[in-house]
Parts: sequence; C-alpha cells; structure tokens
Amino acid sequence: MREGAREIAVSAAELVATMAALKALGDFILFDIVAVDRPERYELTYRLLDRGGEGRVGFFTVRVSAEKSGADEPSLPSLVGVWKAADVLEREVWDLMGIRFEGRAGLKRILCMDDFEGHPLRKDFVVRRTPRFAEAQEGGRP
Amino acid sequence: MQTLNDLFLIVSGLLRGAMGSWGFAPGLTDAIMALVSFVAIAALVTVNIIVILWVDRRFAAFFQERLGPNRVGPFGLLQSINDAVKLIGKESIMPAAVDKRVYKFAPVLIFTVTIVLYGFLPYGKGLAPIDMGAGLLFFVAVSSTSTIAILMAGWGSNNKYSLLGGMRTVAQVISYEIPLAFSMIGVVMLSGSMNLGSISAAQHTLWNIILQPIAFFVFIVASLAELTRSPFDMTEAEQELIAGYHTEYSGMRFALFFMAEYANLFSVAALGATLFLGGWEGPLLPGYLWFIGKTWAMVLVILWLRWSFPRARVDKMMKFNWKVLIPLSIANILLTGVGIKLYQYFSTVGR
Amino acid sequence: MSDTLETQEYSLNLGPQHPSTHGVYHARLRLDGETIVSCENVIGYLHRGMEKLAESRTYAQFAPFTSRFDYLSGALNTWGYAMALEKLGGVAVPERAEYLRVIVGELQRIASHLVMLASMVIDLNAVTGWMYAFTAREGILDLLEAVTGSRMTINYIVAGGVIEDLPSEFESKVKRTFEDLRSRLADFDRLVSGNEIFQGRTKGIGVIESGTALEFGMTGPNLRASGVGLDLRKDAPYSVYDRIDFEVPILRGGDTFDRYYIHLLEIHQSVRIVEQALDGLPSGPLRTKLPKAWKPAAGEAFGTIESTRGIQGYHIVSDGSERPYRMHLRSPAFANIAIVPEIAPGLTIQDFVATLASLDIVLGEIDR
Repeated sequence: MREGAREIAVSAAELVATMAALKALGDFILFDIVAVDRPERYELTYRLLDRGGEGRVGFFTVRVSAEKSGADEPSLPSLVGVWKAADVLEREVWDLMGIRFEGRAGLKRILCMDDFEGHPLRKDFVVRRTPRFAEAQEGGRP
Repeated sequence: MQTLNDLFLIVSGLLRGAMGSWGFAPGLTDAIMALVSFVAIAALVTVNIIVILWVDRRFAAFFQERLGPNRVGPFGLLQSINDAVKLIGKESIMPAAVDKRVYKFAPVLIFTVTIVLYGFLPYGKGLAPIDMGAGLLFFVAVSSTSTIAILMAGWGSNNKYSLLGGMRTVAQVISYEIPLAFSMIGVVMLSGSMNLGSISAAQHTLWNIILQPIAFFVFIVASLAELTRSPFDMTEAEQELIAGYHTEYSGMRFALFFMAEYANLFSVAALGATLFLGGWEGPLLPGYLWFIGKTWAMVLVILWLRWSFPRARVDKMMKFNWKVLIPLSIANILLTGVGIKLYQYFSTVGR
Repeated sequence: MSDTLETQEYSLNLGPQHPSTHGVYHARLRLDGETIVSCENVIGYLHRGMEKLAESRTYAQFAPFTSRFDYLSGALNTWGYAMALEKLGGVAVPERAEYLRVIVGELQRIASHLVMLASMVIDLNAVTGWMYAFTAREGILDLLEAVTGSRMTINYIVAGGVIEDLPSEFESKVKRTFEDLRSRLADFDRLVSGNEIFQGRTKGIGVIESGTALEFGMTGPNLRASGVGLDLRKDAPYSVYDRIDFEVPILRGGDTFDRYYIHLLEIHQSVRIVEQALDGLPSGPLRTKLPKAWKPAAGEAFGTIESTRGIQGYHIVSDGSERPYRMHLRSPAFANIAIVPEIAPGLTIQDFVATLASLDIVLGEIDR
C-alpha cells in the first residue's frame, strides 16, 4: 500500500474499520483531523503519519464526508477506540465545526468557552460581538 | 582597646549610673533598661533585614552575571528601604472567606517570635540582652513557635495552596527540629553549658567547627529546613504553591512574613556562629565585630546555597531527614561522648 | 472511632493563573494529599480564532499572524506556512533563500530551546540556571534581530523566499555569539544537569513510554526523548537539510530528565547546522516575487515542518480566490499536552510541575 496511493476516501461506515486496519500495520500514528465546510457537505481529512518505509517519513490521508442534512448536526463514528490522540482532535472538530462524533464520551468544547453558541469555523457562522461583551458594554454587567 | 570592646557595657553602665543618681527606683531602672534593649534589638532587626535584602539581591546578581539593584542610593543600598516604604503604602487586602482573627494574628505572631530570638543572642562578652542559663534550649523552643504562626497563616487564608504550604511547613519544621537539636548537643557536651555566652567563651582556643564537623554539617542542613530556605523552601514554593502560606497576604502583612524570613536567617546564622565559629571570641577586634563578621559569613553561605541549588522534593527531603540526618546526629553525640571520656582519661594519665 | 485516619480527596485548580503553567493552561486536579488522583486539561484561554481570521485575510496578510501561534519560535511557524503556500501555488524558492531560512530557523530553535531549559530549571527553583539560559538566549535574539528586524514575532520568511539579506559582518557576529553560547551551555550543564537534587527531581519522573507517546501523536523532542527517532529534517528532508551533516539526538528514558537533556543536545546540533549553512551559503536571488493579490489555483496543500515542539502542519484549502477557504494548523503542543491526564495520576504536585515544564508547551500554539 505504501508504494501505491497516499490517499483513500472511505464512507463513514467504513471509517473505524479502515483506521483499525491501518493501525494494525504498525507504522501509522494519527496526526491530524481537518474539517472543511463545503456548501453541501463537510469534508474531513484524517492525516496519518507514516513512520515506515526505509527511514522515509510520509503522510497518508483518509478522507470522509459528513452530509449536511437539514438542521441536524452531522455525525461521524469516533476513532477514540483506535487512537487516543483522536480524543482532543475530535473535540476540536466538534467545537469549531460542529460535527458530532458517535460512540465516545466527553465530547465537549475544548477551545471555545463552555457556553459558547455556534461553531465558529462553519461558513454560516456570523462573526460579531458575542452577547456577553455586548451586554457588558451597554452598561449592565453580565 | 578594652574600652572599645566594652563600649556597650560602658554605655549601659553610664545609663544605669545616671538613673541611679536621678533617684529612680531600681525596678524602674531595670524596666527602662529593658526598654532600651528592646529598642536596640528592634533597630538591629530592621537594619539587618534591609542590609540582608540588599546583600541577597546583589549577591544573586553577582552569581547570575547581572547588576542587581543599583539605582536607589549609593550601590542601590536604599533599594530595600524603598521597597519597605512601598509595602507600607500598599493596601492590605483581606479576602472575604478568611478566618479573620487567625489571618490577622499570624503575621504579628511570626514577627514577635523573630524579635524575641534576637534577645537571646550573645552579641559580645556580657552583651546578651536576655542572659539565661539555658539560653540555647530557650532559643530552640521559641524558634519552633513560628511553625504555629505559619500554620495559622496557611489555615486562616482559606486557600488550598496556602493550606498545602502550611502543612508542608509543619511536617518539615517539626521533623528537622530533631536533628537540629541533636546537632547542638555535641556542642553543649563540649562546653558543659547551655548558656550561649559560656559556649562562646569555651571556644577560646579551638572553634567547635573543628571538633564537631558532622554536627556543623547537620546544623547547616537542618537550619536551612528550619528557615524554609532553598533547597528546602517547599513551604512557599512559588512555582508549585504560589508562595504557599502567604499567598493571600499583601501589603504590610506580607511584609511582616517577608521580613521575618530574612530576620530569622540572621538569627539562625548568628546561632551557628555562636555554636560552631566561636561567637564573639577572637583576637584584636572587639567581640561584637567578630560576632557580626562570623554571622555574616554564615549568612553568605546560606545565600550561596540558595542561589546554587534547585528545590528538593518533599518526600525525599523527609526521607533524608529520618534516614540520614537523625542517625548522623545521634552518632555524633555518641562519638562526642566517647571522645570526651578518652580525652579525660588520657589527660589524667598524662598528669 | 476507627483506627485509621480518614482522608478525603479534594480538587485543586492549577492555573489558569499559576506561575508554572507557562501561560494560561489550566489543570483541574483531584488530589489525595499531594498526590494526583486524576487530572483534567482545560485549555482554550488563549484561543484567538486564528483559523477563522485567516478566512477573511489574503494569504500574505495572514503570514504575520502565524508567528503568533508558537510565539517562542515565530520564524519556524512562518516557514511552515510559507512552505504550505509554496506547495499550494507551486512556487519555487531560490537556493540562497533556503539557506537563509535554515539559518534563521535554527537560530530560532536555539532561542526557543533555551527558553525551555530556562523555564524548566526555574520551575525547579534553580534560579541561577534560568539566568544563564536567558542570557545566552539574548545573544541569539540579537542575531535574529540583526537579520530579521524583530526579536520575538519574526516575520522574515515569506512564500517564495525571504525578505532581507544577511547584514554585514554577520558571520563574525555568529562566531562570537556561538563561542559565548557554548561556554554558557557548559556552565549551565555543570550547574544544573549534574546536580543531585535536580536529578532526584527529574529522573524517573513522568515517564512516557514510546508506545503511549505514539498513541497520543506526540512529536518533536518529547518523542525523541522516549526513544523514537522521528525528525522531519532527517526523515523527510525539506529545504536544504539533506545537504547538511547533523545528528538527531535520541534518548531512551522518556522521563523528565531526558526530555530536558535532549533540548541541550539539540542546541549543539542546531549550532552545527547554522555553521554549515553559513559556510555553504550560495549567492543568488532572495525571493520569487508573488503578486500582491496572489490567487493560487483551487485545491489544497499540506505543508509540514519540524518545529521546536514537534511537527507542525499547515493545511490550506484554496477556492481560487485571494483568501484561503480554510486554514488549519496541526499544532504539536496540542498533542503533547493531551498526554498530561494520562501520565499525571500518581505524581505529586511538585513532580507535575516538573513534568509539565519538560513537555515544553506554548499555549499560543495549543489554543490558536
């Protein structure tokens, strides 16, 4: 596989099994999860660091999409059972992009404050003064 | 020369004479003289703290290739006074949830203990403000009461960091008191007295540091722990406990803790100088100058250690106390006893 | 009454305002006496929404922001960002610029490692060692200032090259500074590393096994101190690192001491790299000029760099406009700090502070 494609796309249902199989190969570590808000879906890029292959380090990319379906939050299966590194990475994606990861505990905000509303990296997130500061500026203490 | 040596005694004699000629009752004279001693000690404590603070900073700067305070006054000598004035002027904030009486009383208590300790020091021949037969015992007893003040501060602050600091202090100071007291026993055995003046006088020919090197080592280490100075300053560890028991103190209340720490540094160094370096014994110069000089040598050693070592770990420090220092100090007592008996035996045989 | 003393667990908030949390990190600890039972990371106090800010700025406008991620190694951040942009737009970098990048990047690494050493020893209250390291860093910062014009948030490396050439007599300055650095490091090493108390505080404390480290995605010196030799400069050489002779120090203990000591070893390697790069410096242009309103073709690029704290990754998605559609930073310190709750139980507060210092976190990079 190392000589072949450096990138695969899987469906959400296959994600955990694929990752577990990749991990079983022994040389991969979960490096990063990036979520991109496309008009019709969320694209998630799981980047694995490949330590194998004659001293050459490379990256291996697994792509998954989460469809936007109405008002519901899109969701994907969680990788916490495969890599412990997934814990904070998934929390970050949930916090900033609002993608729910199923099958794990403790999915809560990590960078924004706990009572923050919305998910700032979504394209439909309106950047404005947060109500808390607006209120404080208009005289009343929050 | 003799006049210079007895300067303070002569002054005190003159004062007493003058009061006698004015017809003061003997009790009143004693009371006034006690007051004079107190004022003298208080002045000494204050001046000492200011000088030690300045020396500590400049000394550290010298170690660390920087200049240290050098702006206020000549060589920055007035920097400490500047800081003291600043602290007096600051608001003394009292958090809402503290145990008010305990919180307020702790700094007063710790500073009182500190000043009392200065009263026992033999500054020169016949120059101990409180000259007690068991002066050494009393010194140790009084100095350990500062533990109570620190625990009061730690508990009264109603802060977990302070409480941890207070608890560490109790564990540390009480444990280290044992080797500290044991290390002094060798000295007491040699000089046959617990009076600090007699101990100094007994070292006329030979300083105790030569006869009691183990005891001196134990004394230095244990007194560092007693003073909660680095490397044993876990009680106030700013990196872990954010200043420990005095986290919640500010303004003058904080200054009292701060000054007590430096004042204790001097009094313990003075005790070390008395016990091991011959106190005011020395040729040519007046006794009090010898005393001050030797004390400063001890102070500088303690500061040197402060700026060289990282902080030890609480549990390792306690293990070190119980497994190394206490056996060592007990062995020292045994060794001293055997040594004294051997010396007596051979000196009688030789006669 | 029972014979045994009843003890009670209690919780302690270490941070966000605490001298040893290296910024605004907050650990929610459960303690039994002074021993940690469990630990919860609370981060985000320094979250500035950088990734969102990037979406409303042009590629060039966002470059200065990147040096505020890991503010101790700003030049390496801007380098990583520049490499990602070059991948995205297929921009070639002149050779001289690559050498200058190596010089500035490695100087920055030395400066950052010196801060790590300094803050590590001051957390153990070795105040004099702290001053030694910071004084040595001052010399390095002077060099950086001479080249780049700034000491901390260096904005020297841009997509396409670098902005300035070396100042005159730079080589002799470097020589003098490195002599000074070597003697100071030797002093520092003698004063701190060999100290009995220091070793007692750090050896065998906060051990991270290599398996655990990989499981959590740790990279950088922290991983190499656990016995895994992973360094992009060696294993996937970028820029001109393949022409430079240097070693990647690897230690096996994985404890606080090894994580401390590996930084000392790496400084010596960085000094070697800078010296070689200065010797091999070719002449030529400094920069491939990009237009002000640079519009890379739609697509995405992932640029990685061996930063001070591990592998930084910049994931940039372009939609063909002059602003990034999405910019994401993979932060090494974010992964390094995630391991704290795993290793904290069983440590005392004192050990926790030492271990945290050895992990060398920078909150600007964690919180972004």
